[in-house]
Amino acid sequence: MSVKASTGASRRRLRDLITNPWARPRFLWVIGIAYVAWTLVPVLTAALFSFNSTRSISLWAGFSMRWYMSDPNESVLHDPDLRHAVLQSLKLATGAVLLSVPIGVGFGLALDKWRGRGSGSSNFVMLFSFITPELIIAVSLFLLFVNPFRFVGLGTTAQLLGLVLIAIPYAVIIVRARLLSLGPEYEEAAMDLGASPVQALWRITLPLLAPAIFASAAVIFAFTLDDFVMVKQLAKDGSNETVAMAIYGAARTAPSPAVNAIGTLMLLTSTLVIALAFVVFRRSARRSGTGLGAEREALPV
Amino acid sequence: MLYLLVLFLLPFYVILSVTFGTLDPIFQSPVLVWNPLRWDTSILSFTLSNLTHTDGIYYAAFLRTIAYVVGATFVCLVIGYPFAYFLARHAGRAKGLFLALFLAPFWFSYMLRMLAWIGLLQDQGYVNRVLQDVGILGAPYPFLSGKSWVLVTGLVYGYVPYMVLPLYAALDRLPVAQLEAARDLGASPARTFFRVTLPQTRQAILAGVIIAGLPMFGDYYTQQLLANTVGTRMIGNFIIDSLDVPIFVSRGSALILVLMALLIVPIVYYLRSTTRAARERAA
Amino acid sequence: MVPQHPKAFDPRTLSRREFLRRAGVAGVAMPTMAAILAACSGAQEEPSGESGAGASGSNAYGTGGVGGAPYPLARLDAPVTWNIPDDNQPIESGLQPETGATLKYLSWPYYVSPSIIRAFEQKYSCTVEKTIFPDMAGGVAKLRASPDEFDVMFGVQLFVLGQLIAGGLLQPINHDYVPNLANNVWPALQSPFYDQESRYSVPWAIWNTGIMWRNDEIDTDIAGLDNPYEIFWNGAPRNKTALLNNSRDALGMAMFRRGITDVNTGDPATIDQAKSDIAEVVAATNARFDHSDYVDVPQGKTWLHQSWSGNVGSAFYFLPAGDTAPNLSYYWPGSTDGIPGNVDNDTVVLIKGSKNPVLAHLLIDWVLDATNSLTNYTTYSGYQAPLTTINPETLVGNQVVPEHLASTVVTEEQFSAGYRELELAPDVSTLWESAYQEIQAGV
Repeated sequence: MSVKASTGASRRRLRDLITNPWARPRFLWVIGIAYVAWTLVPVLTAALFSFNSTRSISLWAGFSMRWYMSDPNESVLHDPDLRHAVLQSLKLATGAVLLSVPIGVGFGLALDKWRGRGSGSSNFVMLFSFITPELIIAVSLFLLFVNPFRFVGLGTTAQLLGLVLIAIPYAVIIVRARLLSLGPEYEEAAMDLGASPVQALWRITLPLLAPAIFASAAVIFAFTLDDFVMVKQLAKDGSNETVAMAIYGAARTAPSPAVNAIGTLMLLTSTLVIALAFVVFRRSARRSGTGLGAEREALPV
Repeated sequence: MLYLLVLFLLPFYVILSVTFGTLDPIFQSPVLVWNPLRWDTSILSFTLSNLTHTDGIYYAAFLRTIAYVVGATFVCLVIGYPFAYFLARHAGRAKGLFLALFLAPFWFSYMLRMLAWIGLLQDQGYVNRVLQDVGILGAPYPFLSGKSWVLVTGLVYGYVPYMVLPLYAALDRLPVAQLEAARDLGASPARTFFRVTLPQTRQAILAGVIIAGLPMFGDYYTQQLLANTVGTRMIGNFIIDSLDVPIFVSRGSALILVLMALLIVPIVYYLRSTTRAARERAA
Repeated sequence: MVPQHPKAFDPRTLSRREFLRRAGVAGVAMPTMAAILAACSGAQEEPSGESGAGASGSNAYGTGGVGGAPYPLARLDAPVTWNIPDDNQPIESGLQPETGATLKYLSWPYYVSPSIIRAFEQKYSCTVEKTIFPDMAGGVAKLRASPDEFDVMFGVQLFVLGQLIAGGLLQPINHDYVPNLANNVWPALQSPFYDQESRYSVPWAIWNTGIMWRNDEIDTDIAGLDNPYEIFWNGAPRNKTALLNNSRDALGMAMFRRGITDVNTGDPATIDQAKSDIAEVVAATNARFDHSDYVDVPQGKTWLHQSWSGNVGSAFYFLPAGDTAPNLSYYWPGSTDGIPGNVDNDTVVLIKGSKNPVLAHLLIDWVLDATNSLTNYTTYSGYQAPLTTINPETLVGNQVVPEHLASTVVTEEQFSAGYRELELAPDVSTLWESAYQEIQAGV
């Protein structure tokens, strides 16, 4: 736009603002900013209090790294229970990703082959575990591992199995969405050129699926890192405590900024992972020519 | 598929076996009974009657849970729809940023978010202090002592992103051309919204209500963290507490059975309408 | 819930241990032998009334007790002598301790001092591993799940002891290896009513259940009341009151308040009355049910809390800066004339599946040693053990508990005068748990 036209436009906008402050866009902007503030400010406050110099989680008394490293007994660095919770969370999240992504991708491809792309009926089973309250699945598994499957018992293995169970659908859905947007052309072309189905899969489809695989890994990592209901139900004792469980326990009895600290650390980890995934996804999606739009068509929401 | 069978259907059968099972005579712990012919339905009938009769143990909590979930879901919709609309249509250049900021809570720990509110709403928290400083309150208000509205707000806070997600997806997908056409034909913004936008987002509203609302039925921790009194207990609390008392484990599993039976209907309805809609879109 | 052990804390109580380590040793009056003998020689319990089926519980598992369950239920006036079956005989005397062994024990969190364990390891050249359970039901479940894995279990409460014995999980103790039982433990607990001749257990910790409150927020002199329990029904602050979250303590207090001493009753009317009484408190004060008194009261979240005596030590640590000890008060209503109150003890047991039974016996003897027990009490767990050797004159250092909190320490008179929460017949237990659940449901 020429300078003259743009100033004219802005003058018009200003006039609009004065004469009609409740015009739709303005109102929505207020909502937009208010919503974001309302969802993020409390969490940022919680993160902020992890740097509090006193024990309080509600009264700010000054900045300190006490709860992260300097307090000789209760800081994250020195308290073995807190450190263990962080490690357990990371362990479970990593394990969940390593198990559920391959299985989920496998399922996604298998469903694709045998049911056709975009088939709805198998999404059925996948979505089921999304919407069922996690409590129901968690208690069912708890009773399963405590009684008939006592050889598994409770503990890290049980926690992992539970998390994998609810994580697989995420991978399946994301992969199938990507497959839908890719279309069968690439594989068909490869097979026309003489590749066997396995070769086509390995050398064409999987690399094209890379962003989806990466995205599912990131999503699964982020949500299993913070999962509460499942890991709490399947925990055997204190050694299986994760950060989410620690926060819950502390919130109910003795909140301490040290617990805010481990929560903040998990927050940073998730954010990093998601940001990384986003960047990778963006770059590879751009490279392969299909934008996010096609995937969104294929997601079941 | 075998994996899913094992880890979905088997636990379900375990629930049935515990509900219809017996108790160990010495330890009074639940004994599973696998054979349907030997099932004892007394616990299930006990649970059902306590859910449905006005003086039953679970009656109040059952109604309360429904009230909380319906209320919270409605508020989620009221808050979520305008925000989704904003995000899809009006964020303009800041869209990416707002999208990122909106998606952020998905990977923030639910617990951390609740902890944040506990810190703010405690007697010594900032909300009480500000309200006292400004003069609205004389003494700290017991936000965390069994206030239903605090609990519902907590549920909204926890689950509203799940409402926004499908709404945003649908609104974003809406062709701008349709809206422009409506305007060209003389419809006011309000009319455009009600006659063009809203009907097309009906499926998304259903999706949002289901995805945000259904998980709330299993909530017990929000109640424990934000309200924790007898007057706010939900069905989830009864399920969890029953697991601590060996004689009552079968009551808990019976509650789960009933809950599953009730939720199956909306779940199936939603899944079928979603797959139908997806098929229509693909066509 | 089943009666809660005072140690059923959230594991975040490490700070409590910290405080005790800093505060030094206890210096409050402890029981003397003579007083115990005098107090315990005469029967002081009322007849058990309608606990269980009334008739003797003698059967394949033991003699004595009352009926109602597959195994005898012990009562103070109906003591139980557990059978020692032929296939579960105690080990022979005079055996050498196992060498290079790994001993495993189950216990509550922060219950057995690592320093005394380390000393044991060094003395007998072995390794000792601990497994924690968060509550009694969890502990029983762990033991049942792996009956051959553990050697010793600390903190077994009386209401599960019968289950464990009848369930074949425990092994009888050969007292030749545990001389400290006869040497150090209170005579009254050498052959307790719940396990005559201490065949399967030795006593471990004792406590009482009373009232903790903030005296800067509550004006009433609760200790001076004719009936201290009455404060919950008359004058309890709204939104600032809490009760213990288990059926026995909550309903039991309502019964004690009315002067009913049999808190193991199976009488539906009594239980129902107690339920209504507690529901009344809940309705009037919006009372919470929890056992986080040790942090809620110091921090002002709760002003009046039904409490266990051992929690007071923890409470000190959670006082915010500027708050001082005089603001906290604790009182055991049983100290007031004519008012009943609860005392209890738990036990240490020997696991049948133990792979190192000699060492296991020696460990039990080790923790009953005078010095070790004192170390455990004053520097780690904070729960006193009923040993005759612990008395104020031999203790040096700061007082953990000041004068106005003297009630937190269980004296010998209190222990014999207090009423116990004992094992119930299954149908009676269901009555209690249902009543508690109904309170939780607001019905």
